Amino acid sequence: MPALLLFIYFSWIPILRGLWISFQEYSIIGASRFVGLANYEKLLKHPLFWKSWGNTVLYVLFGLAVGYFIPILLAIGVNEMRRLRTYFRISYYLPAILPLVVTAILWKSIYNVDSGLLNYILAKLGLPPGQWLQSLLFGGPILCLIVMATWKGAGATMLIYLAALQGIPETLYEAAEIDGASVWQRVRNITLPQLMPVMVIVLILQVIGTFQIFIEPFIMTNKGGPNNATLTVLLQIYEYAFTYFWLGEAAAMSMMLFIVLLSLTLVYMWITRRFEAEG
Amino acid sequence: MAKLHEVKGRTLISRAELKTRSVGLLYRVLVVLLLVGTLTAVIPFLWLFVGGLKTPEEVTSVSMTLLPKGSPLSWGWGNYFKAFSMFNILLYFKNTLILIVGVWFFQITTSSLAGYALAKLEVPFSRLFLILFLATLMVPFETIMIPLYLTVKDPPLIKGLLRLMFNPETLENVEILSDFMTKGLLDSYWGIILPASVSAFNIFLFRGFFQSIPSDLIEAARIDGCSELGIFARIVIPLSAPIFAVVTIFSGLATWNSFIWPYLVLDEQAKFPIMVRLYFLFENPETTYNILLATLFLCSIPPIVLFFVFQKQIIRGITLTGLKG
Repeated sequence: MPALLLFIYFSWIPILRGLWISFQEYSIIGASRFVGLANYEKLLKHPLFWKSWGNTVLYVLFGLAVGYFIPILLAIGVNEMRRLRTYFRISYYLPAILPLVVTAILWKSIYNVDSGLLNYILAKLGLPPGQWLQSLLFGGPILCLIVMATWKGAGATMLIYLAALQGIPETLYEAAEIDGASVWQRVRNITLPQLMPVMVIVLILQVIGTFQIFIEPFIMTNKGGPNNATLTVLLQIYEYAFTYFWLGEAAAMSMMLFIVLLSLTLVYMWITRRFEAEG
Repeated sequence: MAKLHEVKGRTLISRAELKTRSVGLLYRVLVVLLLVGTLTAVIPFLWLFVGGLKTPEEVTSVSMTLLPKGSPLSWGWGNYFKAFSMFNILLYFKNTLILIVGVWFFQITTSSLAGYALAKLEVPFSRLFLILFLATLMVPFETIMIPLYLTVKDPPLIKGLLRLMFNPETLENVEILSDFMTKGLLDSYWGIILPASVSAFNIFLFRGFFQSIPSDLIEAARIDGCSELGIFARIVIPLSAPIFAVVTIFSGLATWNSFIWPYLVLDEQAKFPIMVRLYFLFENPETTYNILLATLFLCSIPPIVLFFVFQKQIIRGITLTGLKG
């Protein structure tokens, strides 16, 4: 079983090793020694540790506020289209095809204060330019990154909702229309409740995904700037490991992230199982 | 799972209703909104393409314009050729291609065989293995990034084995061995290909698909004296073409787009895959902006072409798996 060997070597051993390292004062060259929970304690006292967790929670909240409903609305709208459906599907999905590195560099140029597309449009409309990624407003740069992530991700999520919409029995709409329900009432009382299981799953997947945001700030705000305003948990882990060479601490922080994600995944599994049981 | 291409008799709004004035208006507003929406999806692409045609001054000036100056003929089409030749882009395309083929080969062989074993062969402890495979899905890649890096840098066991097998002199003098003893798999494609081959998700996909193949078919072949590998190659693979296609496309796209792991593992610029090279190009203050944008555009062409060719499979793959591109 070649798969088994690869798994043991590149997945299971690293997982256990990560756990082990997190309890050690680890050094690449010299000997390592067991220090118990000292790494965890040290982290709790490190200011950037809290900063990165706080920011990550902010990313999640903004992500839900900005990005959660757009794919639902797009899917409901596109599903109603009598023509051009393939065109809509493809053009909304197109951003997802672009490599993340390319997207990040491209959006950095769109957000550019001097020569970016956004400030160009604002100037044409007679509005003052924005600072975007360099904004000093609380949460401003994070919001910029979230807008980009939404631009990139909404199309793919829309496809998932579209598939779910196709599964809604037409007789429900038929009956509601005969009963005189308006379009809006039908959306509220049929479409949304029918989409509910998928919506819950997408919600959890989105939270899990946002917790792991990394490449966007790595590239767009030069690893978490300005003034650590866009620092995330993963960026901080990366910094601990490959800039400070605090491998033990980095592994400890990875373990904490793992526990958060694991609990989310368990919730996810519990919910999907419940939906399956209900049929 | 519903079929995506099936045309339904009706949706939220019925055909008759469209003719009424209020719903008809609502529908038209919706069409306009969605069309405007597609513009926001498409405009950044145009911005990228046009940016690649500008002069360095035009692309960074405060008083920027949407289009480059002059007639379309005098635009900087040369930037694209420059981007193509200046950074030896073909070398990095080639590097990426090597990685794509390598990752694909190891992923597809190991995951499909493992999926088959779990679905159809009576392997002892198969449930335990399945759970252990699936458990790795819950561990995000970034969590094991550090220990994995250490594993790749300093592969446990294998080094000790090599020390037992060869005397110290051979280890120092044979280049492959001495490289391995000092750097492990760092700076080598194996350090990328092997960890990337581990994919519980693919095993799960294959297992699910193989389960739908009737066991009678396999049984019959076995009675006719077909070997186990023969059954796999002649019966299972031809029947599972769609799932092989989906896994192949997604694996190829993922390798093309991968950045952080190759960035950590590789040191030597000549070995970089395209995304890592792109990052260094972006970081380099000497890179002019127009050439950068042109290069970005060139690097996006292969996945976009792939998307248009395999559109149907990709969209089906996403709706089947909930996986994003």
